[in-house]
Parts: sequence; C-alpha cells; structure tokens
Amino acid sequence: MLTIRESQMRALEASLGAPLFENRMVAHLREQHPIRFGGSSVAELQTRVRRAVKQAQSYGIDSFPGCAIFLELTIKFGDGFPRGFVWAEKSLAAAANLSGDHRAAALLQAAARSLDEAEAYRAARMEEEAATQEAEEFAAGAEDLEQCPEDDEEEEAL
Amino acid sequence: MSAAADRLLARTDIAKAKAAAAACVLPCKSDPPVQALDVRVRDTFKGGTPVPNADVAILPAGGGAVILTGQTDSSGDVIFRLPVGSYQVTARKDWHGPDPASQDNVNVPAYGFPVVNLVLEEIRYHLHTDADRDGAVDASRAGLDKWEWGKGKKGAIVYANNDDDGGRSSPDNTDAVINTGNDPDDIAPFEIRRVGPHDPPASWEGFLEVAAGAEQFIRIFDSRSAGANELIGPATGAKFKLPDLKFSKREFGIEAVRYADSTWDGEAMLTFTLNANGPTAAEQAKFRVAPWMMPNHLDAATEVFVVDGGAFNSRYRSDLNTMVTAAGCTLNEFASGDIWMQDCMEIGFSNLPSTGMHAVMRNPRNRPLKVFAKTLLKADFGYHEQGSLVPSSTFDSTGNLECTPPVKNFPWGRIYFGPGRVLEEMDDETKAFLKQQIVQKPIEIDTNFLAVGHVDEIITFVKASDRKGFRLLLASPKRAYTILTANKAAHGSEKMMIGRSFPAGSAEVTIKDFLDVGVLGQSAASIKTFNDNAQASIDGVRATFKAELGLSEPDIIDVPGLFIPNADSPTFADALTAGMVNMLVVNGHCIVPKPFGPVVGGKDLFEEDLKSSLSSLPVTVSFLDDWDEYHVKLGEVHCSSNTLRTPTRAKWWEFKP
Repeated sequence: MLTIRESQMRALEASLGAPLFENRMVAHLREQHPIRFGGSSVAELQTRVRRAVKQAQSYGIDSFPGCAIFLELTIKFGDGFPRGFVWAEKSLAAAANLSGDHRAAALLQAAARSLDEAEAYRAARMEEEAATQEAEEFAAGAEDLEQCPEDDEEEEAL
Repeated sequence: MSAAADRLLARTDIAKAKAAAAACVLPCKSDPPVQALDVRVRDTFKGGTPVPNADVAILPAGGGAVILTGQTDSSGDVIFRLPVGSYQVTARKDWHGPDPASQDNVNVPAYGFPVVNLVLEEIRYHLHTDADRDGAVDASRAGLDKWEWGKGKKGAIVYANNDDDGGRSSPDNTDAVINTGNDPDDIAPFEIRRVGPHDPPASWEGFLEVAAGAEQFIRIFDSRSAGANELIGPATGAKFKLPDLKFSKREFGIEAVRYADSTWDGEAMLTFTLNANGPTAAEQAKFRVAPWMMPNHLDAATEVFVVDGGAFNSRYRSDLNTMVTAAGCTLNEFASGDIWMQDCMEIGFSNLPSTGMHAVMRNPRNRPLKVFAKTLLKADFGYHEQGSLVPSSTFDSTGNLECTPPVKNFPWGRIYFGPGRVLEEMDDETKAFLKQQIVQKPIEIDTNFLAVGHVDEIITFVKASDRKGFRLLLASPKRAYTILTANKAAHGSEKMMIGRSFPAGSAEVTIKDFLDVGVLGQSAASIKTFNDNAQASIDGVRATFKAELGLSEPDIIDVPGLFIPNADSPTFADALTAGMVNMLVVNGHCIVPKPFGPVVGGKDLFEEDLKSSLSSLPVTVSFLDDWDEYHVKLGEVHCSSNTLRTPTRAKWWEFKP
C-alpha cells in the first residue's frame, strides 16, 4: 500500500494549490480593498501576491496561511515591509527558531500591538485636542469644528 | 484592542481561511468560513470626525435581542466577528443624535468584511449673553456666570425697563409682555445656541430657571419682539420648560422689574439646564441691573420745570423763563399748590451698552407734587418710586439729594444728601436704594442745623476750567460778616434787605444796626452767635467734602449768606438773606437768588462778592428775586425748579467699586 507521509501530502497540496491560492488572494484583494485594488488588473494583483509570497518565503514563511498574513501586512504597512519597522524586525528576530506559521503569527501579533500603541497615542492626543478645543470653543464660541483627517482605510460602505 | 489592529486581524483571519481552503485540494477538513463587520461612526457635522466611545450594538435584522455590543475607539471604529447573516447595527452616544443611529439588513457573507457607516452628530446647547457689554450677544461663553466690575471685564446687563414705550401710562416693566414702540430695544438679549446641525431627540428637555425669589426682580420673555410673553417673572414663576429644542438659535429677552435696592442686590443668575435623556448639563449666566444714576449741575440741561402758582408767582416765572431761555433751556410749568418743584422728584438716567434712557424717581415726599413725576413717564423716559410716602420727612425731599461733578475714582460724581435727624430721618429704603446703585457712592452730609435740612440750601457746584473742573460753593455766614464788618465804619448807615420783610415783620436794617442791634426781634449778639454756629456746621460739611472728594481750599468758594433762627424751631436755621448758593445752574448759567444784601453805592455787596468769586470761571451770573414767592417760605430758586439734563452715556460697568 502506498503510504504518503504528512510532509509529502502538504507539499503535494501546495504544489497543486498554488494557482488556487493565488487566484483566491487576487479575489481577496479586490473584495477587501476595493478602492485600492478594484481598478488593478489580474496580472498586477498576481504580481503583488507573488512578490509578497517571495518576501514571506525569504523570512521562512512558506505556508499559504502564513503568506496570506504576510500579504495583508504588506498592504497595511507598505511594499517595503518589514524593513524599517523596528517592531517587525524584532519580532522576526525573536521568532527565528520557530516554524514559518508561528513566525507569521508572531509577526501579526506584533503588528496588532503596534497598531494598539498607535491607537493609544492617538486617543491621548485626541483627548488633549478635545480639551483644548473645548477651551477655545468656550472662549470663542467657535462652531466650525476642524475636520479631523480620516483613517487611511478606504473600504466602501454598504 | 484597537479597531485598526482588530481590522488587520480580521482581514488576515479571512485571508488565512481562504488560503487554508486553497491548500485543501485533496479531501481534508476545512475550517468554517470567517467573516467580520467593520462599523464606523462619524460626525459629519464636524467634517467626518470619528466618534469615539460610541456604544455599538448588533441585533438581528429587523430588531430583536442584542447579539453583540462594542464601543468605538478613537478612530470611531469597532470590529465585530459574526456568523454569516443579516443584522441591524445601532450606535448611540450621550449628547449625540440620532439616538440611536441605525442601519438594518446589513448582510455579512461568508469571508466577507463589510463596512457600516453610521452618523452620530454631537448636539450641544449653550447659553450666550452680551457679557462683554458691547450691545451684541457674544460668541464667547467665557465668564458668563460671573459679574465683574471694570473695563474689559465680563457680566451681562439688564435694564430696569421702567419707561413707557407702549403708551400705557404705566412703566413697561409692570406688565408681562414686551410692549410696542422702542420697548424691544430696552430688553437685553440672551440666546440659546445649538452646536450641531439637527434637532435632538424629542426626549431631550431644556429648562430656564432663576433662583427662587429672583423672579420677583427680573422677567424673561420668549423673544425680544413686541408682544413677547413672560416665561419667568412675577406672573409665571422662577422656572420654565422649553416647549422643544427644535432650533439652532433662539433669542430671549430679559428686563429687570426694579433697580437694585434694599431687597435685591441687583444681580440675577440664570440657569439653563439640558436633560439629554439621561445625562444633564447646566450652564449659568449672571445679569446685573443697570443702576439708576444722577446727573450733576455741570451736565447739559434742556428743560427746567417750575410750578405754575398762578398770579402768586407769575412775575417770578416770567423772569425765570427769560433766564432759562437765555441758558438754552425751555421752561415747563405745571399747575399745583405745592410750589417746591425741586423736592418732588429726581430725574436720573440709566444705561445699557446699546442705549440709554432718562428715569425719574418719585421720592417719598407725601405732598401734592408727588403726582408730577409720573407725568414725565413716556417712551425712553422711565419712572420709578422709592420709599414709602408714610411717614415722610423734610429730608425725603429731593432738594436734599444732589450729585457732585466727576471726581477721582467716581467718573459720574457722588450722590450726597442729609440723612436727617431723630424723628425726621431720611427714608431708609431710599438711602439703601441710593447706596445699592454703587457707582455714585453716596456721601452723607450733616445738614441738621437747618430747619428745612436740604443740601441745596448750603451747597452747589459750578464749572471751572482749571483744577478739578469745578468749584464747590458753600454758604458762608463768616464771609457775610466779614463783608458787613468791613463796611460798618464807612457805610454803616447803608441798608440791607431793603424793602424786604418776613411774616414776623420788616427785615430792612442798616449795616450798623444789624451788627450792633439786631433784626426781626433778635439781638445782634444772638444772631452773631447763631451764625457762628451755622458756620461751624458748614465747616463740618467743608471738611467732609474735602475728605470725600479730595478737595483743597482753592477748590472751594465761600458764598456770603446769613441765617436766622426758624420761627417755630429756633434751634434750627433759616436763610435770612436769600441763600445765593441755593441757585439753579443750567448750562453754565447761574440763576442766583437775589440776596438783598447790604447795598453800597447802588451795589449789593453780597452779589458783588459772588460775581467776583465766579469771575474767573466759565459761568454767567444772573440774580432772580425770589424773596416773596419762595425765600420767605424757606426756599429759593433751586427749590422752585427741577431740571432735565442730558443723560451721560455712562459706561458704568467699567467702574471699579
């Protein structure tokens, strides 16, 4: 009886599933980032996905889920990710001995922490600005409140 | 977790699930689909500003029990992981509307991550007053709850709106509506302004309120237009619930029912409370009633009032008319048997930042002319009564109530009066009223040596071009005796009070006899002693004015005049020679009671002395014979008259008590 080991099974699945993964990620980009990628061609998106996969693999992240995480991180933080992001570089260094999936998960958690820290900073700044604005309003009766910059997200509303 | 981080995790979860499914090319166990909902709450009125800390709830489509709740972060976002389905999403926040914001039938498909945008707009209401006293309601709300004296300070002002713009023959502030004519201009404005573009939920409630009891002193109207009705005041009480909050700006009007007095310090705190379906907020604004102020003898005059006593004073009125007309005034006559026009009223004024009005005070003098003051009531000419008519003393007469010219720290001068004596005290309420006006802090002058006791018998002020801008004129028996004594040797046989008499008999007497023998049955020695005592009392007045007004001797002019014991109360003094200081001063024209002093070489030495004293000042001097009509009745020209002076546009709120 032919016995296929688990590792052989995964390799087989990966080789067979690569085109499907790529197609799904292209679709995913269009669905989840319609403003940013809605006008991009399939070829352009395929290039982006492949570039992300290649970058992920250079950090030892080679599973489809790991590559999906890395792809999302490059969209969030830019094509050069993780270069220049201290928290990302530290995370990858700390997770050097872990599997690719764990490395991707650690990188994602580090990204989440980084965003949380940015949010905390932003919340504190807004609180200060609100206090200042309230004082100014009180004094000047200003009713035209300054427009706050929108988040960098661009998804369409339902 | 922040929405940004959660959004990233949700996206990667979805991507991972899709990727994992892609790896299962052979039959294998696949994870269930992953999907999420991205809820974003914004305040579009603030340009799309995120609304942090909004409470977001997920319900089944069409409503039902809450499935999930969350709160937006500083980016105004919150992420939910949900099973595939259709949902209703709601968001609410205190002080925001609508309450709640909602979107129904939100479909969350497998591997989907839809975005729901909800709009919550902040709604605030604020009190706004003219706290900076420029005549317009301020945008700024700083310092509304304080009332501070001084230039550049804050505190809204309200009129004691006691003129009669409505033509009702009654002060406008005695009814519960805004009257016609100029009345809306006399109503101070305040506003409630909304921040936010939309009406709040109907459950929100707004209240205006003053401290219990204050509704007896102020009245708030539902607008500043003629016909506006009282919302808070004597007729309606201290609290008012706004019928709705469906306005972006609503103007109200406020007037005072009275001036500050013995029962009210003149300040009222208005509270606006907003109940926003749970949370409440309150703001306060303090108002102060504009004080009633008195003009002084240096202020421009336009009209002089005198009683038409018929034939009794026709010659006097004719002569007075000539002099008053020459001074640029008109003489108005009012028929009465009560001849003391000076004593029945005091014509003052009151100012808002945007306008001003005359306001006549009827003092508590219970004699026939008590009805006259109200005849002046008309548009922009207020009327108010102070004190009780019973009991009433001579010290309640307004010949006993005058105001100095401006002096240091008191730009509109200082009120002065004689407070009276035992059983003849000036009315306490009137004294308290005068004190409560603050800006012309009263000076009490001891006039008790006088039978009538009025300050105008011994004190007046005239304009000067130097020093303090005025001179204080004081009656001076000492000056009179100096003149008489100096002329005794050379002109002792010359007469004084020629052809003059009192009910007790002729007053005509030679200089020598007056000094050596006496007059009117009084010995020369007793008259001298009596006048020395009068002089001592006047010296006390002199000292008081020096101390209170910062005057020195060159600021004071002694006006010769003699006193004699009152026939009924001989310890008190009456003027013997007509009291020149009891003059009418209008537009720099001094209309002086003709003294009938000693005549030498055809000239009245007392007249000459006064003319000499005033010769360097920018005033004219005319003498008017008031002997038979007023002097023998214990009054003079000033007592016979009253004067309407142009009100000063006083920025009294810049005063520093």
